[in-house]
Amino acid sequence: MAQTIEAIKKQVTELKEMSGEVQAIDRNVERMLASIRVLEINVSDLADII
Amino acid sequence: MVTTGTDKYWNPILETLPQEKLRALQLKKFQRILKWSYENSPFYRRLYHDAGLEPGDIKTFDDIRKVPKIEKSMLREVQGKTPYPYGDILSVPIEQVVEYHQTSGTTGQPVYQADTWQDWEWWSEAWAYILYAQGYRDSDRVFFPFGYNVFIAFWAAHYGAEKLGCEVIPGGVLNTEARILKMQEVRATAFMATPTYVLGMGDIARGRLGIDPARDLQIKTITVAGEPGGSIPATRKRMEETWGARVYGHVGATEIGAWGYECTYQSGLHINEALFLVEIEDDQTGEFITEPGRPGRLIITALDRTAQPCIRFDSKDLAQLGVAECECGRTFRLLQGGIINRTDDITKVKGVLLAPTSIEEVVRGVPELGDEYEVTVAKQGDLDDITLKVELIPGQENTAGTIKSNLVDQLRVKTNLGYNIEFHEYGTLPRYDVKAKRFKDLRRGGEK
Repeated sequence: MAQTIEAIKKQVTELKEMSGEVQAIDRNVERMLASIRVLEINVSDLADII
Repeated sequence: MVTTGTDKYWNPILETLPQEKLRALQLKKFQRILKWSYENSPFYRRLYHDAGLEPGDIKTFDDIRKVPKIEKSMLREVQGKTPYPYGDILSVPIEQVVEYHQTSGTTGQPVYQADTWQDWEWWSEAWAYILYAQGYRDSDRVFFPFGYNVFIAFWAAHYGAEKLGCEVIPGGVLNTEARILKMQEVRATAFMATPTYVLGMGDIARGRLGIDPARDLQIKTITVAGEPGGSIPATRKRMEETWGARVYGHVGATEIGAWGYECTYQSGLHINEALFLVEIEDDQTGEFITEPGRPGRLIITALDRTAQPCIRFDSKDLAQLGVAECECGRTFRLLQGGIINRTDDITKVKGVLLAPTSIEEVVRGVPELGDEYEVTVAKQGDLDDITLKVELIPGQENTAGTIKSNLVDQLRVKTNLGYNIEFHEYGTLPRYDVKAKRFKDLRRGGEK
């Protein structure tokens, strides 16, 4: 799951890079990244511990 | 709903993680938030520089105790400066801040709190852990009977409930009667409030509306916060009987986040040890307490909060670890009996902390009023009732109406509480030669 979360984060970040600073994309990407961060808290942060 | 192994928990991985792995996770996260704050917050960098500490110095769990604590007065001191209004504790560019909230302000100047989208998602996630553990599910229709304003109150709970898929009903500006009628009309299944208000609503439902909440409404779950009542058996019993519902406690703070909760087993407050580090310190010796049953002061770190980090915050709350493990299967440690007390003499009224100095500041700022005043907190039924007695200086009697209105407004802004105002003839309130006793708490049958 941690790898999948990382891949999603990479894709979403790429989306922002190609947006041409269109606010309708950038602002929604920010929200997606915030949700992805919570997935990291719930899953990825544990990857090297369990 | 059938409860199986995984649907008992919001996050079965974290909530059943063995304690030694939780400690490893907490250390890793503590090191990360410490480094983040050192690099991005001038306030924290200054604090740690003055203590001769660098993030790399924290190598073990015990090293965490080398890190200086912070407290509310330090947060007050830094705010109001650049970047306005948060000051240099802010660890992100101000453009990234999307949520402003503040403490209740009843212990003095309110502490401002900045959150980014990421932090706001984190807030609602912390609440999702709480609500799921208390049995909330997507079939619930959750009513929020609080004044949606600058005080954080149940704001994040609203979004946490949404995250669970609950239907959320904001009862913000409605009065108590209208809230009860709306809960009945929409057949709400859950709500959140202070214990005082839970009981007060029951009182008003029966007394003024002829509604028996246990019989005529469909509330099955109530989450309480802001007062210890949720952890006091007699109060809990009264609430549960009034509403025919299960009542669960929660604990949190604007500066920290929603860090503790009861689960459906009601055996104490679980610390959410995946998102927070809670240390317990002997209030007299400063020694760190790890054994159950010994009360101490809670020092709390929000491990993932980034815009306005909260690292080793002295909550001034006293609590003790429970002896037994909870039957729910969560490995998060329990605080037996919830929050026992606070270390200072601030009094909780209607669920918010009230500092008499806040009232004094308002009263003494009104030139038409004399120097003396008196505040009485009493129970009217199950509700706290505050009366402020003041004196108009001679010649100002005709200003009473305006003064009363101004006082009510200013006190509401300053302390987040409502007051009855009584005018007394000048010179009739008690005068003191040495120490004044202007604050009288009559709720427990005596004076404080």
